[in-house]
Amino acid sequence: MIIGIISEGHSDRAVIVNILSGMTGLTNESFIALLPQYKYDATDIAGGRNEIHGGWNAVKDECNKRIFIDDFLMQDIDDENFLVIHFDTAESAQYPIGHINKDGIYCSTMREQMIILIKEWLKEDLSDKILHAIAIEETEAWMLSLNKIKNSWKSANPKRKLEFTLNYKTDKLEPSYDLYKKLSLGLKESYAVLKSNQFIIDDPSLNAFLDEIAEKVIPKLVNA
Amino acid sequence: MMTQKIDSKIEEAQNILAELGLKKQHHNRICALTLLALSSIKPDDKWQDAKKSSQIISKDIIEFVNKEYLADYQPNTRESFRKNALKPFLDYNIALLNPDDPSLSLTSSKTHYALSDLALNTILAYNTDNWDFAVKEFKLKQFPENSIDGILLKTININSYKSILDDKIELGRFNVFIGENGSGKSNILESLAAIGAVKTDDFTYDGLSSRGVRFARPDLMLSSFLNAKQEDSIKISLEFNTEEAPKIFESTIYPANKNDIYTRWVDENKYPLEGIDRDLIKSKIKQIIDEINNNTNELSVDNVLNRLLEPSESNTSDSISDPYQKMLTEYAIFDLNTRSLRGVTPSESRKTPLGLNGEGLDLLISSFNAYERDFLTQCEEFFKWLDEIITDKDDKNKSLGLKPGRSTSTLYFTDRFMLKKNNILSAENSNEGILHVLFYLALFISNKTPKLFAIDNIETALNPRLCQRLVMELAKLSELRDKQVLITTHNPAVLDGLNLFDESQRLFVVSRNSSGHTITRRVRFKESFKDKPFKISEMWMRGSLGGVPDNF
Repeated sequence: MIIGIISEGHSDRAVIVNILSGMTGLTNESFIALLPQYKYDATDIAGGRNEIHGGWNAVKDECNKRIFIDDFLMQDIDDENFLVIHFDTAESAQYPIGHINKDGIYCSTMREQMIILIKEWLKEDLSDKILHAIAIEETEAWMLSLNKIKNSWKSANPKRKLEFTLNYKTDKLEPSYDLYKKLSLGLKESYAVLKSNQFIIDDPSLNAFLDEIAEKVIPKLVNA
Repeated sequence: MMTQKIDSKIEEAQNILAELGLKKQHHNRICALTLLALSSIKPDDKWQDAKKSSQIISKDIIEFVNKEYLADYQPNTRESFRKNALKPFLDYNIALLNPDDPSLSLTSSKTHYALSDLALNTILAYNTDNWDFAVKEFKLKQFPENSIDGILLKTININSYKSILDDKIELGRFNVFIGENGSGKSNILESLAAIGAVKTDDFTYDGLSSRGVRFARPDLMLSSFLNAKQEDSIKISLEFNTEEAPKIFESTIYPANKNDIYTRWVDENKYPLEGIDRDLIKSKIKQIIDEINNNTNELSVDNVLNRLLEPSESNTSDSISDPYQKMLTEYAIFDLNTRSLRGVTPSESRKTPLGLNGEGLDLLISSFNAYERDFLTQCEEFFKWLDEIITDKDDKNKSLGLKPGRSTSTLYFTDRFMLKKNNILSAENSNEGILHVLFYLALFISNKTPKLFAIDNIETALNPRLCQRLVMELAKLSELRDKQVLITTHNPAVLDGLNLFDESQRLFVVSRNSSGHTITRRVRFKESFKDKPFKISEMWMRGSLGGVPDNF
């Protein structure tokens, strides 16, 4: 089984890979990093373009254009390939999602809206193939839950809070694939172990992502 | 009217000779007339009337052409017929010498010639729809060594070889491996060389180096990973396809002395203890006991074991008439460097006919038969400037000052854009691209090169578009010449030469898993994406296939 990952940042992918590895037993070679990546050459970058093609806009763009998505889906990997699409909802205000009250169903409503939006952008229902890593508000919130912080999704700035929680006092927390892989290692556990952690269950977007993996991916592994 | 018919028939015979691969100097009138005589074709006959008969030069051939083609050859021109026509006919298997009495000497007055069955059957198809097919068949069968057997290595299972702890690869005929630097691509190529070496008791520093393997200390040849016990042997099993049951080769290879860097490695499956001659064992034990008693040698347990497992003389002379064994023992990893191709460095590789780094290209090409030559001329389309490839066997061009350096290569090229009197380039002076391309073509075309081999970094020195075109050509040649190859590359353009909807052409992504083990995955495309919008090279560059670093 191969799982392609479209994420806003490399560090987000590190967290996602830890979760998927723990729950499925799949290792590095089963994950293909599709986005973000270098879209421009050094000449473009010198001309002022961003070095890395990533972030909210890049993921949305990709859902519309389906370059990496189709690249990936056309590969015949025993029909058991999945595609992770990751979004942090922190910047969702820029997108056509109506105001959602931050009440008890905020997270699930936001996640549902995002899934509808993704389907619209893709112009096709690929939900059988897609795992929605919708982090509310940022992937760092999931890491806060891992560090036993309650209601992490309510945090206005999860990254700052994570810095504080992990005692990053002098050096700022600079997200990178390797660092986040290490910091989120606690999420590399089986479904049962993750579900026995109350802080994780209480994080609705993380919990929903785990359930989605359990529902879609794990049965395929058992049958494989 | 008659003259017209005669000229027309002679012209047809000349065409036939050209199509059958004879060189230009053998498309002359005397050759054409000899072919007509041997086929008993008169000016009014059709080629479908051709028949074979044994003919003596002066009595039959000369008389026939004088009578039917209004020629006036005297009996003393016999030698011209023999030298200019019949000799090349024998060389190209168009005619047979003394088929009715092979014991006759060349100088016998009864010396006779006849068309070969192969030539007759080909000629019968002239001016018919089957002609192209017949010529192709002729060229394939013309030299028995051009024959092919269609055997392919289908599966490799590798356990505990360098970075490969446990991997299984289902091969096609033409296999390309991509992956990050250090992912273990070369180790896959090496594992096959390892089994080839051990099958002929040649798993030593020299034996492996001559096959292109990077030899290392025993504990580095065996997989070594954190938190895992190291195995004490390399296990490799291979499965070949055959028309009957699959043929399986298994090897469990371990160092005779783990503490000796240059130790010989042995194959448990080849030399099992129970398979050793009891008398031989007895004599070896007696010899060792004598040495211990006489204190002539300090013997460790490993040393004793090593001595007992030493193959006997009779075991080392494994026959390589077995086609599977032959494929494995001849297998080598080619990794070209331009200086070797130019012939300016002393030969480092003892592999023949082509050395691992490009040695011996000139000699191999000069020994090509007509069938092989035909394939090689395709090379000319790869280079706009190339007019002709010349192999100067006697190295006469050196004395003309065309090779002022130290090159030992006798390969030359003529440039179509240069002045005719001044247009010959030696391998030493030519561009490196043509040498690389020629090497690969020769490797795939020749019946003397290994049937199964590997090429590390095929893209070296080649323009991207040339890479694509070359790979398309090589994939085709591998089919026609019955070669099987494993290729590594870091150039995306190479992938654009592959047709992944053809089962015989396969692409593999090699990567290291979380524990560092090398894992291989085949890339395939769904049939429904036959009109995929992007080149495979673009997909690889985008990272969609994997096989690129993903942490930056």
